[in-house]
Amino acid sequence: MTSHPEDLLSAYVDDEISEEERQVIEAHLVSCESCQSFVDELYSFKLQMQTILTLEQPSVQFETRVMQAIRQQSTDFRTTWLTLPLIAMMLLSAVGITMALMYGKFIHGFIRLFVAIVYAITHMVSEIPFVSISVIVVSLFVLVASIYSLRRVLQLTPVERG
Amino acid sequence: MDEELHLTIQHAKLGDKEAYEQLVTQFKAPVYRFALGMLNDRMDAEDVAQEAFVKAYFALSNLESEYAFSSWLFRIVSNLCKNRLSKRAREREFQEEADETIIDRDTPDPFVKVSMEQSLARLSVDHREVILLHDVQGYRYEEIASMLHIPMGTVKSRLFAARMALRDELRKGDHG
Ligand SMILES: [Zn+2]
Repeated sequence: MTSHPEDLLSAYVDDEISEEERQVIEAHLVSCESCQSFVDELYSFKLQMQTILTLEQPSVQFETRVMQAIRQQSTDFRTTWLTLPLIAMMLLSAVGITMALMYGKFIHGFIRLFVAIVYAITHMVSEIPFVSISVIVVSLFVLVASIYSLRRVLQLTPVERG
Repeated sequence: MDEELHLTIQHAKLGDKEAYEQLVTQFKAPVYRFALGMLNDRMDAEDVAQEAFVKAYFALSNLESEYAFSSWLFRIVSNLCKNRLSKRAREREFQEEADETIIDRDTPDPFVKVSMEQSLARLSVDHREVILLHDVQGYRYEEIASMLHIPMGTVKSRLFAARMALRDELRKGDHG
């Protein structure tokens, strides 16, 4: 046999070849000195590789450090996912309280608005058809004025907490 | 895989930290040695090995089968090692730009006989990885193929190429 099955020899020393390939290789090895010495070399590499790192050991605090990092990251994770809704809830409550305070303060504004609407509707009903247009105009004016005043009060008054 | 290990992995998967710590104890040495072989630096190896275990803990729910735990773990540490190596390469590039006269510490000294460790450190990342997984960790071709997502034929040819490269490195040192 003239060609040396070098690539197969690497798999041969690893015992990762088919029975058929093994027979071919072993027949070749009997008659080929260079391949025989290559196989010896591969075995020696493998043996040395198996031993080079065996004396190396990770530090004694290895597990402690790993578990510490895991606990740290777990709490980080938990705080993030607990804090976010908590902040959201606090913000919502703050907005709610403020709104409630404002509504309490400006309730008279809404009453004025309500009165204006009732006034407009009653007039529209009673004065149809002659004065209805003027009533509608006046009512609309009152309505707009009410909304405007309500808005102004809302904008100008600073938020006071009870 | 023995039944006890299988059970420990199962418990760890359900969030049992004590069970996970047992797994760390059981696998820390091979994971550390693999990282050391890849990175050739004890501090970095310790760092990356720990990072791998932390990462694995939080990804444990992705582990499909308890039987695949160790190869899955090695895939994680291997990826972390590769990230560390490319980060190192970027840093070195930056440093060399800053200082053109820097001496390449990887240049072999022809008068010193190179050891197996040194030769291994000079191989390409892919070659080192496959030698470490096969010769040092003892994985079969099939396991390495699934670990690295490459065909078995590639594992075979890569391991052969890695050994040839290793032989070249060892011979370079023999000239002195
Ligand atoms: Zn031959």
